Amino acid sequence: MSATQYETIDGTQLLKGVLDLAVLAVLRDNDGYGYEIMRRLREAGLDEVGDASVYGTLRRLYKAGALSSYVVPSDEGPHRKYYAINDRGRSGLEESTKTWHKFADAIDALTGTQRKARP
Amino acid sequence: MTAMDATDVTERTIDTYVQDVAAQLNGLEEEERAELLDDLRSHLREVINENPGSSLNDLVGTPESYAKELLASAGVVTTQKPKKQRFTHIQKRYEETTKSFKATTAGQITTKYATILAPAWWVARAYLLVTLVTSIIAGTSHSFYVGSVGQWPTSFALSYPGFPIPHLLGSTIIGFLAIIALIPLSVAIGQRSAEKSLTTPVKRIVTVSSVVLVVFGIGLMSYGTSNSAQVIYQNYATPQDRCLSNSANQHVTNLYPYGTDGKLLDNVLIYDQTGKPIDNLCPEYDEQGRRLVNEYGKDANGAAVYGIFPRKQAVEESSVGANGVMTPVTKPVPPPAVVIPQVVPGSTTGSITTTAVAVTTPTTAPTSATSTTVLSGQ
Repeated sequence: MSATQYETIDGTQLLKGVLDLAVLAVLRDNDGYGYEIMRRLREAGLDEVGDASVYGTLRRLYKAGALSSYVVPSDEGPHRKYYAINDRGRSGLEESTKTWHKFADAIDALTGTQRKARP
Repeated sequence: MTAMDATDVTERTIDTYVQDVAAQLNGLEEEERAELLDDLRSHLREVINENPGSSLNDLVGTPESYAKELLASAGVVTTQKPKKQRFTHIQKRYEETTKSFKATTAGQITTKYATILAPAWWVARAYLLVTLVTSIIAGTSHSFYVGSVGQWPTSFALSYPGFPIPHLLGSTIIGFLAIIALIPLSVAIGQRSAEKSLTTPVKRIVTVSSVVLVVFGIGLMSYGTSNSAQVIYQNYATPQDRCLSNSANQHVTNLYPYGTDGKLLDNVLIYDQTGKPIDNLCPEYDEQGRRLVNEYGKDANGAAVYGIFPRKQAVEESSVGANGVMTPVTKPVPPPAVVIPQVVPGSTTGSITTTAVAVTTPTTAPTSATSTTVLSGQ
């Protein structure tokens, strides 16, 4: 009988759970196209985000009705497909954010991390 | 490279990558797939723009890993293992070609005859396989001479007693039994392949080995017309290409000086018009691809003297020992049969008068006895 492995959490595993939330959050105030959204996520500190994951998530959120998309033609090159969050997406974002905070607080408490108080 | 060229190359790189990813995107609806690939295309353009000079694999990972991640994040679980890229492309092209050929009249006739003749091929390939294996086993003591590709292993296969039965492990009986044993196996494989009940890896092995055996068989048959084969094969570039060849394009391995009296001379030093000794023969292999062993005279410093003719030469042959194992054996190379023309003394085609030739004695005297002949008036 072999012992089960204990694995430390790495960034990619955490990310898989909350990428939906992250993408919706990025689009909350500004529409964006794929490459730009990926850049915003990375600038925010999520450098583990894989290119393919961003696009897969965008596609899934779109199919779930949380995003709408439109094409912007460009003079210098090919068109860009922009994604925008809609009402359904916004409510989903709100729900997920609450869930996330609850989860994060719980982990912080367990690990003894002090975080800023939230209104 | 102009801006247009750069864009073309980029587009082609992107096309290839997208195709590779597309091949792995199984289990998706068409529309979904098209959207994802469209996104990918735009994405790759952006990526390349921001990072010129880097490869796509470095920037976004291999197509396989991209496809996997894409499927995972798009919410599709794949149970299907994508087939290996290379073979599917080749297989598809092969199937398309054979299908279009079979549609033609010629194709249908060929198919009919192929079906009838298939059993003959099954028997033939058993024979060819045993013959090829015999040649390889026996021929491993020979070094591979690139210049006579058509001569080994086919020449070896043909140069043993008992031909055409292969001399496997030194015995034609073993060779014969091996063929008899392999025929049912070959027939079984042939029948299964006709029923299309062979597994893919077996099918591939059979196809590849059949090609090898066909090539070997053609080599065996064409060895019969060996003269033409020799000319073709010796035109290949070999390390010895710069060495002396005769007007029939055969490598010169030795020179045999005769007097007009018909007597073979010995220990003759031959020089060209610049006074350089003839030292650029191709003495390593004979026309049949067998290794030659050469003996050169040595001067007082122990250096080989190449310009002495005829050279002492022996050819290396493999002979079957008592235990059935091939062992190398050297046999001296006999001088060739020559035709001595009957020269009428005193008659010449022109009127050149020769002057006496200066002979310089080398500072290090050759240890082997040489007879120096000063040529005049010939």
